[in-house]
Amino acid sequence: MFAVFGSQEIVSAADNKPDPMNAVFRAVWTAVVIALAAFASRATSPGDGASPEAVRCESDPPRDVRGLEDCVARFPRDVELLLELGAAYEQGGRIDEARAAYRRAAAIDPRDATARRLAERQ
Amino acid sequence: MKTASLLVARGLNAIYFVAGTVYCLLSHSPFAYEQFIRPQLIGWLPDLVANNHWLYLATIVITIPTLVPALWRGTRIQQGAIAAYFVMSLGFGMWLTSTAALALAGPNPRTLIMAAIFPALPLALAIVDHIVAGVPQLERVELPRLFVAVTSAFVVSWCAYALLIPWFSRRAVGVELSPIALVMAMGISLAAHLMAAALIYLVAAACLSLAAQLKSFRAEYWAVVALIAIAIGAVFQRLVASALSLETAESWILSGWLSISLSATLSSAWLSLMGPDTNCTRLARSSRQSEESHAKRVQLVSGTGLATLALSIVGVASIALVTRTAVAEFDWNFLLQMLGVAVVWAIAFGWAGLSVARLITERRRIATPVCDALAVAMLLVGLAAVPLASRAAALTGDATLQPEFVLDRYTALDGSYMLLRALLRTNAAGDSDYFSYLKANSTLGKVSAAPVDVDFVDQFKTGRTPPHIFLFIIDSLRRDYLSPYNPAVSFTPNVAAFASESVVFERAFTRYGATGLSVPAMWTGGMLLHKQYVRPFPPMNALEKLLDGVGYRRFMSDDHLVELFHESPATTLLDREIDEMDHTVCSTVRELEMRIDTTSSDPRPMFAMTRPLQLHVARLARDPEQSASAYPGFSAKYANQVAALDRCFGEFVDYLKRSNLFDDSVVILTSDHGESLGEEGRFGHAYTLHPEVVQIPLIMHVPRTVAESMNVDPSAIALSTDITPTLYAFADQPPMDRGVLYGAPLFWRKGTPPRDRRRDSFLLVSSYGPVYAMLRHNGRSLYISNAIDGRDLAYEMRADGTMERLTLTNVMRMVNRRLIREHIGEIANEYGFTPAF
Repeated sequence: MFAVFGSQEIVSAADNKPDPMNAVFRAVWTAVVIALAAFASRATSPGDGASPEAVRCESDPPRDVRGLEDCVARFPRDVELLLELGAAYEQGGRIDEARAAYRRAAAIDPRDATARRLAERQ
Repeated sequence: MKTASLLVARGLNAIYFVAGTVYCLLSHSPFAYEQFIRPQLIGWLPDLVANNHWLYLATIVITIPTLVPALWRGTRIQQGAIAAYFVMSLGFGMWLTSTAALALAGPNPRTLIMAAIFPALPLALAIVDHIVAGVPQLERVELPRLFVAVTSAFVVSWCAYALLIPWFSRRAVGVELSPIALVMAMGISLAAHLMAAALIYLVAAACLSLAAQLKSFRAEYWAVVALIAIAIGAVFQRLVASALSLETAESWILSGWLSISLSATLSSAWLSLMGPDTNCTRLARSSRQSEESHAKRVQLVSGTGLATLALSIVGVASIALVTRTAVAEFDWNFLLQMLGVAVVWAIAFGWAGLSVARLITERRRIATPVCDALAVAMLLVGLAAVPLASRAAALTGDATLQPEFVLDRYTALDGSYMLLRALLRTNAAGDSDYFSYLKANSTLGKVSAAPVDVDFVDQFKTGRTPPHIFLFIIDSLRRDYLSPYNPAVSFTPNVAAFASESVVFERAFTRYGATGLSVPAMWTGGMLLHKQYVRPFPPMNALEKLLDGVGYRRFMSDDHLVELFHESPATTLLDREIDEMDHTVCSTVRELEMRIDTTSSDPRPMFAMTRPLQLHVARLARDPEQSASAYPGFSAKYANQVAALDRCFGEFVDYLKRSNLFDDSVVILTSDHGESLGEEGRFGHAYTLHPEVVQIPLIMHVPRTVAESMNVDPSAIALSTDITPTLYAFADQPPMDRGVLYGAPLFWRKGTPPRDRRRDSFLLVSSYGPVYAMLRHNGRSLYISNAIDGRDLAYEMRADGTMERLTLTNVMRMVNRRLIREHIGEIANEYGFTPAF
């Protein structure tokens, strides 16, 4: 590194007149450019744009069929939501829909013994 | 000759002090200290540390003669400076010898102060050198040449690492990239290299221009030294300080201090390289002479045109290959690889930058404003590259082209881009607060905290004799190297046979990455404060309480964690004559069989526990290379050791059967954590919670009486902290529910409802750094927050039990980050700890 700095040609005096204004101007615009670059590279804050309904589905899902259907529509691969929806259908006597929900859950996670057992139940 | 001897003397001096500083920093890191230094896993290191004062003496003996001429013939100031250096060296030597300072190093503030003392000596020597030789006059730096030199160096580095991509892609796991993805990643990498060149040029140009206004060659010289110090400080702060888990204030102070010392030492070495020329003679040298000598030097290293460029690229690529290959498997969060890249950059800057810049600027004169405009354009290209690639990926609709995924894989192939990514990383405002919170709750070595009483039962019941327990915690054992978890494995027939008579938990996870907290948490049956360790530990050792409460006699391998148990006459230590790193299943079970045979008349139930280290990255490094064809698709050395432990484990199971103990015993085969074996370039397990590290095998053979009276769901989530509560249940001591920070029994009595943990969230933590994860959805969803790298990752379990990366969504971020904070807060509350945040 020193070799690079130390081995430059000597620039003629005419090219190299000290110019304080020029140096200060360079320092200022360099700082501005780097600050703008840093600002531009910052990602958006976490949580921006997350809908409260989606957050609720993920953290504290509703118990009713309608609410669970909405959540499953948002998170179609959520096995727990599908099992809860199946249970809610079952409680309401909607056995075929319950079975379909359980089967979807078992298809997503075939190693889940509970999902498999519920899906295979007649 | 004189120049060479001076350079060698300064080099040896620097090596001693840098090594001393590195040793102190590593000792201060709980990970390095607890895992490698304290257990003396590096055989030659303790002797070297014990005898380091002789090395210091040798260093001083080599250094002093280089100062003697100036001491006799120099000015009063020079003589005074040298005398002060001698006094300082004498004082340092006396301190080193009388206190045995290095031998007492450990994860405490004193060691950090020592790490700061070591660089003081080379800094003092550099000051003396400058007083003796004077500050040399640098020829005025021409900005266009600086611009071309920096840009050339980064372009050459990019080309050199691009040249190595085929080599590394054959050796890394899970980094397959389509041709389009590879081209995209290489383009982004080139843009990042240009951006780095632009940033360095702009900062250096501004500093040098300001320094030039002082009309003093000294100011310009020190400006160059300061720029180098800033570069070293930035690398230390971004890479080393975070890898060593230094606190914010400590890391800034140390970064500043070490970078000043190192840049001063480098400048001192440069003075030595310039020879005995005094400042006066240098000033008298004509510009013509300078031109001629420089032209000769350039001719030596450069040649002409394309040949120069090709030579530079191949040369830099060779150095890059050697540095990376030497350290990849021992690496620590890519730290050594990235430091190696920093060295390669410096070489590229000094070699390629010098020769290429000379060639280009000799042929065509470039105006400074043009360089400035090009630098700003390069900056914009660097900033726009990833967003543009995201847009392009979205337009194609091809999810595999997501830049985040592509670049994570690509960094395994291009070390130069890996370092740039780490250095140029920026966090959003919310991210900074969050990651600061994680850091404030991690590596709490200096925090004093009282132990918590962890009781799973109010009182131990007496009654039927509990089963024997044989607990095999194989350090660093991955589940996918065992046939019950991976049908492609053909080298573990004994584990397969054992599994056929046992329960194989399909979703087993460790609560802690790395041994330091993983094993103690397993004994506690719950989460711990992020400290090694809250002492005394026995109040939290729920496993030991069970062994005492029910009256087990114990056989335990003598490793550095056993001291967390009380000394007890009921305990027999195994492997006492064997270095911890050489503990293997074979050696342990042979001794264990002998001990069981000789104490067979003892009516007490047996508890045996061992943590063989034959798969540990530090142990594997000593193994001879294995033919890859013997274990196709697997890491050959690692698989060979798994095969070895399988044989001995099988022999032990046969012994238990021959001795009629098997049907009355609980035999558990598990690990404290997994291991990265090249996934996206990762090795080891120190600071990560990637799936290959947190997914563990857990296979439990239970006595026939337990199998008949209890239920189990092998597809439900199982955590390493569930093992102790499960042993309570087997011993007919039903454990109470202590909440999500604690484990729960994996078996439950027939006729009673199981505890449904499907909706529960579980915190996973790295033992040695601020890396946390949230495990949810019955183990299917893993969300990782890595405060060292300042980023989050999400994984989802596939149908075959392996995990795949997901694109992060804002909902994921919000929910998981909130849960991680809540769980960390609960642990802090449990231990009465208030983070300084």
